[in-house]
Amino acid sequence: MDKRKDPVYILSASAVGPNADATAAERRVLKTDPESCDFQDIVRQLTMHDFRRIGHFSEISVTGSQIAIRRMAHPISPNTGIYFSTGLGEVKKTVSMFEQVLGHEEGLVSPYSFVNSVSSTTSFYVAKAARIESRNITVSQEELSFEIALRLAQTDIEDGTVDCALAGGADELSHPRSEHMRRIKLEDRQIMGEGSGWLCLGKNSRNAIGELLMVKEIPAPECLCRGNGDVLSEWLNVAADAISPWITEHEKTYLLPGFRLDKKHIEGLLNRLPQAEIKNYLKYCGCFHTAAAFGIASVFDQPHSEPALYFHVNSNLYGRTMVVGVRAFPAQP
Amino acid sequence: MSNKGVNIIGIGAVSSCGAGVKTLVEHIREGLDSTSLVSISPSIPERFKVSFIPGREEAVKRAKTAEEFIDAVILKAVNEAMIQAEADSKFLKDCALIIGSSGFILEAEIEYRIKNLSPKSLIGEQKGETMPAPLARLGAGHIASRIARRLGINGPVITITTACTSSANAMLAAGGMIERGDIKKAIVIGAEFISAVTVSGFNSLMLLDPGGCKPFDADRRGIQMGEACAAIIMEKKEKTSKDRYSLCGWANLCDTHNVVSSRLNGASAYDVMLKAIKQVGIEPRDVTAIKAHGIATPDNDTAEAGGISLLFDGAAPPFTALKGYIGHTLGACGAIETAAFIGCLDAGFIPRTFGFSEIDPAIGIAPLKTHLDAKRGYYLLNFFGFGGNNTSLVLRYG
Amino acid sequence: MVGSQDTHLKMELKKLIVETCRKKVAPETISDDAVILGSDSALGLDSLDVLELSVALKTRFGVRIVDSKDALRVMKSINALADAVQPE
Repeated sequence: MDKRKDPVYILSASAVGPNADATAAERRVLKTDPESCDFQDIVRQLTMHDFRRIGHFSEISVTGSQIAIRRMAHPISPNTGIYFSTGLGEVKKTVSMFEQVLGHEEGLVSPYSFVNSVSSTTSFYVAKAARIESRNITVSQEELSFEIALRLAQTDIEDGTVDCALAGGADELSHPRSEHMRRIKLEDRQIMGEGSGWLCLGKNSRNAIGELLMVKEIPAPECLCRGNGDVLSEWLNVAADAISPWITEHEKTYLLPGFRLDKKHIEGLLNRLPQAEIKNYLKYCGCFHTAAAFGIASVFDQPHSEPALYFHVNSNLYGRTMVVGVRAFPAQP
Repeated sequence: MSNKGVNIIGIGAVSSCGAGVKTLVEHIREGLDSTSLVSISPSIPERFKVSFIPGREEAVKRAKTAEEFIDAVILKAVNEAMIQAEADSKFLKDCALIIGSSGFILEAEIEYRIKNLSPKSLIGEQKGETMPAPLARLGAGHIASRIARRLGINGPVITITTACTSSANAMLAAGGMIERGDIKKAIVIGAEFISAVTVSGFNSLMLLDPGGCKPFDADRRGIQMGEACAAIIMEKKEKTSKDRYSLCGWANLCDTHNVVSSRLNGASAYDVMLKAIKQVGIEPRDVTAIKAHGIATPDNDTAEAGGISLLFDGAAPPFTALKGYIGHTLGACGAIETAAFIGCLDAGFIPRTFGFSEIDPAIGIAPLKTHLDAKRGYYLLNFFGFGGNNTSLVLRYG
Repeated sequence: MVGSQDTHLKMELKKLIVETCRKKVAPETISDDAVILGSDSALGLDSLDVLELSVALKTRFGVRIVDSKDALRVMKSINALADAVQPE
């Protein structure tokens, strides 16, 4: 087990899905690729600022972060770092910019589109809505974007760089599916999705709803380098070894499989961790690079009557895997 | 002198001056103009001075895949840094790779042009299927994954995309991770390639100066676009033999005033510079010189100069800006300007500001007009970006 | 006829502004001579809106706005804008 530093607590969470669903009651199982929802009115209700120009991707992000902030038991600290993550960023605005500039009639680009496509714009709007002017980082590392941002947030809190952190991830989809598959390779059975997930983190346990236990990259199977051996078996051993030290007798344990894990990964993990149950969050949000943010935040959709452990596991197409472990506290009476 | 921070043990660079830190420093020392005059779009009659990597137009046209061009440039910078750091493949194994870029739109652009110009000639096309291409918007992170695999890097792989502060923030993240003991060493890469879409975007915001940039000048009109790649290898402070340069402080803050410009009174610049030097534990008077961001737009230079004047209370140290030599390389500017500055210090001088000639009375302070002798000390390196993202780094020399 | 006399053109311009800048304002409520730029103005348009409108005006009417000074002059009011689009 990792050497324990001071705990990092989860002060609030929010997960916003493709239907602008933000609570357990609003979640719907997706049967097919969803259409993007209009978030303009929601954003208008959540913030006093004039955000009429922002793109859909920024709207999803501002919505998620604002809901998380509003769910905190006390006001957000001014020294709150923002650790934002996205796999693809503002897809639709960038595509339209391409069409404007490189299309048949090579023309002028729209300033709004350009500004919206800039990689720091969304985290700017998140900060502006939150009235926070502290550290502000955006990570874009495909399937592991949120995990990496969360790790940076955790370590910055641990060493006192920031008092609190707003760690989040968001991605949007685009239609048609065949075009979007060029950006995120999914299997035919997988539904593409969009949404955002946010955790407010801090060192003060008062009113905390949970604890961030670990954010860890597990080593790639050595036999991958050797070119022989049972890659799956080694992977399962290493993943289970990362999780099992946390498991206790009196806490229910759940696995949150990310969208790059397939049946044999999931079943193999369950075999090695028989106490664990699967919680499939992807059916509510679809597959997108930062779906991990939605998945982890959504475990706090409903108050817990008992403490529970959740481990999110996902890999990328280069064979790297990250595990995030959180504990949900029982709700205060 | 502070004992904080991380050692910089190797640097590599590819810019409009050519390949290699040495070439870059020579261009800076001699004040050579490395711009080309280009047409940026059929719908815009004017031609613009831009800082292209030499030979890139041909290389981009010839490339069968976007990867070919982009990876070649990145690996060139990395190899140079590795040679200086005496790093081999074993060194790389547990190294982290942190890339800062505002995005690799050029990659998508090359793919887009290849697809549109000759849809049937895509490599790997079989039975009418097209090869999956990186996209128009842009899993920027896949480049870092690809480069890490090519270099045999097993440590953390991270891509930071905060527009113009991307690679400065990559350096900040690497510094923090090494100082905390998460990793022992890191290769930080800043990479940015000019694309028609990005140039068009800046032009639509009326932020470009077709005649090249004039940082802090009374007649400054805007940005000169540039592209570059730099690699900076950092390691934990253990051995004393390689600690001539260290990154000993850093700060990053977000100014929520306006998405495209900073507070004109300089308050945001002041805040982030102060935070960086406080982290080191020094006072403003201990700063030997400042490498300013200096993008040469009327507002941003006013804001930065305002911040400098505020922080140093009328006694500003020498300050200079490098974008006249290599253009504004957006996400790469953190790494490439740090590499350039270190290269100049190594060669014995603090570079003057190319493109500056006349003080702006509204600003009241002027950057260096001639090179100064390099001195041991603390250097403040500023990087400010869209989305109010502001970063200052403190470099210790000697 | 000069733009500021052309009611139809002025309504087109008002609709273009509302649509382009995504303002929740009914075009017909925008007065022809009111200041439209600046946080205190009726529409509260800022410099980024001015740039977006410059592109929209070029695309729709072929009006070329050279720099920000030009933009401020031309977008002083609906009447000023109409005259710039249709000088006669």
